[in-house]
Amino acid sequence: MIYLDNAATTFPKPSTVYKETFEALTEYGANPGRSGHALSMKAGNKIFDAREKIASFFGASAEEVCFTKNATEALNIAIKGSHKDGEIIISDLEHNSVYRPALKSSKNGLTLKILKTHGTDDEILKRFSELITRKTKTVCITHASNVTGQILPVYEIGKICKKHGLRYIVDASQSAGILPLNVKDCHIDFLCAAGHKSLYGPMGTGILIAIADAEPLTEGGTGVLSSEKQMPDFTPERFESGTLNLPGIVGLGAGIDFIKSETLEKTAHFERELMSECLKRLSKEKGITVYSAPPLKNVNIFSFAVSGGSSGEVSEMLNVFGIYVRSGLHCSPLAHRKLKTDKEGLVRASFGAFNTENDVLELCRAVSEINRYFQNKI
Amino acid sequence: MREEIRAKSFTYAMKGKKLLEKRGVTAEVVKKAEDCGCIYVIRFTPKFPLNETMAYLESNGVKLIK
Repeated sequence: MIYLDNAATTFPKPSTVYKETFEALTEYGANPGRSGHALSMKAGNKIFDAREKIASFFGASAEEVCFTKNATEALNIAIKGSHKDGEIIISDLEHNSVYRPALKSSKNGLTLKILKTHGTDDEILKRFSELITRKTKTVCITHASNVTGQILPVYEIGKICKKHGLRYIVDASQSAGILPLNVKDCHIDFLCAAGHKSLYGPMGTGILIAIADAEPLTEGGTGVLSSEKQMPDFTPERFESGTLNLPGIVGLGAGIDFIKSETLEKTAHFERELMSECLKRLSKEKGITVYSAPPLKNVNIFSFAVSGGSSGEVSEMLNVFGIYVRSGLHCSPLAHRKLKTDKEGLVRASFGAFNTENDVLELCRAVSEINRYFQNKI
Repeated sequence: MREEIRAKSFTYAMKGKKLLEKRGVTAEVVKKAEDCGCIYVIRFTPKFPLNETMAYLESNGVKLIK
């Protein structure tokens, strides 16, 4: 089995993630932040440890780190809880977890503007500056595309946002754990990320680093100040109503430890090397079109199409070879519209820390064979 | 003799505890039921005056209930 669907969720996880998750369930599975007994306090301490690790990883404070069930929930809080009027700018690479809440907000009084992301960083930044008007209040940009892996200049965009006093939301779902990111340096108000992708936590974990305030998406129990009618005005409790995902969060903490021990740069470099090798081989083949940014402007993701075969057919055939990839629109219709691949979609391959050079060779071999099959049919 | 400082949340209590420990103060976090609902307190053996300790915590971003 060759797993190349790491952009959906990384698999396998480091053994320490399984161990810590299991221990949380079996050894101290009490409700964190609810009761005062020793087991609940131990669970709370473990959550706090994970919070501190994440805070340090992204240059935030522990209390600014809020746990969500995924990046989608974090993005919904940040987008819907922010300005209700004025303009919001998103990019043409956004996932539906940004596009849909922004679109819904646009039906309720917000004007949606889309930043085109072709060309150089300077061209993108120029276009971005030109989109800003006196009505612009919010900007929500992905750090890296989940279709092509293209990296956007989030640091420079942050500087422009700061200059204009705009609320800045970054979707780091595909970059967190691969690219270094510091919320303060990038002037980010809300950083949203999945915990189960390149941060190597279990599924059901997401992160919202909230530097600014927003309306909570849900109200409920927070374990403190229960007699008050409103949600607390401080984080993380403001955005964390209900019981937290203790095993998932503890596992996510172990995932962060893994990235730190392997070093962020080393893991990212290794994944990029694998991808570059793959791109080099596949790009040579007639009948295969690769969709990717140059290696240094890309995370561990690329997509491709085989002439004569739909993305679904190609991925089904790869499945027979024991190679697991993702086909279709990848929940990113905007990006596929930009690439003009919104009818058939694409096949996406994404690498993780546990892939090997042999995985690349096997993928290239299988895709070549599939390509020959379709070219002979044409 | 042990002192208690009331924090706004578990996270702030833990943050406060760690800050005190860095100053060589032995501290623990305890949950208590009060009229406003449950709160977390930092229980510690005082090494510095209480007002100074509270000011130190607040200046380091720990939100307290006064």
